[in-house]
Amino acid sequence: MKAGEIEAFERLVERYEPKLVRFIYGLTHDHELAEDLCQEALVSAYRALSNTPPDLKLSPWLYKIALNKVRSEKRHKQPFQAFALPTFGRDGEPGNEPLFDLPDPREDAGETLGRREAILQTLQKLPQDQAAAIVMDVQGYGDDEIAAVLECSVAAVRQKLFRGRKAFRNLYPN
Amino acid sequence: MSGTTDDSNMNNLGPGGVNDPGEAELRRRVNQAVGDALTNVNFRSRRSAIMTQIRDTAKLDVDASTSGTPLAVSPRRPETEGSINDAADNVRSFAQARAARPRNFLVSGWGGALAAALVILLVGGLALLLLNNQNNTGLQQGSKAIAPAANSDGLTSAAAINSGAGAMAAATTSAATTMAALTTSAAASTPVVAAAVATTSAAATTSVITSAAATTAAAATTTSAVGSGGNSSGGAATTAAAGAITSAAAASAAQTAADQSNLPLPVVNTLPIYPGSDKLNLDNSAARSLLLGLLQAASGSINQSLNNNELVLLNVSKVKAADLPQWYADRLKDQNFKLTVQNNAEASTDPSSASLDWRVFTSNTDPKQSLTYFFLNVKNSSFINGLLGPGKVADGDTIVLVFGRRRS
Repeated sequence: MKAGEIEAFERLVERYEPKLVRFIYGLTHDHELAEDLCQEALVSAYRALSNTPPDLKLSPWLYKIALNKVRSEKRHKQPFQAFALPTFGRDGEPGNEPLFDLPDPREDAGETLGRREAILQTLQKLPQDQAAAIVMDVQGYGDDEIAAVLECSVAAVRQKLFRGRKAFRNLYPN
Repeated sequence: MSGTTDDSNMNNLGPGGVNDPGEAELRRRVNQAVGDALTNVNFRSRRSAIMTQIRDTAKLDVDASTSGTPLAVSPRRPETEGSINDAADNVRSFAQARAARPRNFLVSGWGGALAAALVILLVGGLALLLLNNQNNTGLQQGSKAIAPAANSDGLTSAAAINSGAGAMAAATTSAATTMAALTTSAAASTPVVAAAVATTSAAATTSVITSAAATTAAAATTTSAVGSGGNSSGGAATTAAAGAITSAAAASAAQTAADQSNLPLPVVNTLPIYPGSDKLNLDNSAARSLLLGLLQAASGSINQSLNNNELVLLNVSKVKAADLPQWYADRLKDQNFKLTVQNNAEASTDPSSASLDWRVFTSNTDPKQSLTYFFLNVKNSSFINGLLGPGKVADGDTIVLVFGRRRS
């Protein structure tokens, strides 16, 4: 593996990780899971890159991988078994402390958090394709790029967006 | 996505809102709301872990295909600001050049497997004939390398047998290519760490003996003060003695707490020792002392976790350098855990003792479960053996300590 290849991909990661992780977060409403799936998607992308056509459109391709990760996660969610760690409790009390004493940057003001939660919960209630289309539209992608990710026509994307927004409006709690 | 959440946007979204917006307005409001909700979330970048995972994978690919032929290098296009597609093209062209490159038969796919099988059969036959020959130490070493693999619990035993076969093959000139590949692989896979870690022996053990030293000092002070109080009729001496006794009591309580927190934790052999590696008979306290010494100035967070007994030792092994590439590969392939943290210890006062890095693998299904692997590349075995006991390790050994997070 040449150093230049890795460095080039690192630039790609730098550019797309923030977008992809938010895209996944919009579909899963799970902070840790979004980070995990984003990592998996980017590593998968690297491994698959050599088999891609020369005219590959990078953004839709990456989003498609990310969307597939989300779908796969929801489809194959399995309980953890192998290498299960024993649990150690003091006086029988389970602990959930993080491994490292790092400050949690996710702390937020309660009011904003509540509003955000409501928005994200509403997104979760939409069909996944509609939610994905909305999030990509929010991130500035065109209908043709969304169509490439969702593997449908541009007209179908517009329909998904329209229906998704109407459903969002109806589902969002007043 | 920008700006902050605007209450008016959200309040007007519902069908009972101020207006029943048209399509364009609906799009604006929904996008504004969703955009704000997604923008105002802080995520921790995994870029470092992602790139480490990619580099490890890539390194393994190269190790497996090392044949002395340089990779075809595609010229990089001149990069302009923000030309991420150029970067992607570069990545792709490099990867495609690599994929298109003819690989050495002996180290490629089926050819490698076939060659390995032939080597195992050939060398195994030779081993049967020659194992009684006491002078053939190379083959004996090879058989020793295979034996633990065969006795293992099955974890990637094929790879370990390959490794054992590689060791046996070293005894024969016909397997020189295999040995060269393993040697190269081993050299390339030595954990790359920024700097070595260890402090002096005294400094390394300071944290371990701190509480004991405090108690000893307090006891000595108490004895002295009591003695002086007993020999003096002055109130000051008595007061001093009382104060010292109080201090001693506090120190004693602290020591009791320290003793309790330092009670030996069970060594849980949940994880198998990797085939081909040697189990080091370290108990939990010895391993913790070692790591506390080495980590003293390197990482406050892990140091704290060790001090608080949040990490419990699962096993300790001494890994052969040649096994590390496969070891990494198996770990990265583990579908149950993913690499989430990779770090190097950079602070050190004695770079000649050991280098250290650690990696944290988090469960795919339960982020609260994690395994922390510490890799100690021993550079000064006398120092490390001073902590662990004589003859435990040699220069160049890699000690792998696996900790699970202790729930408290």
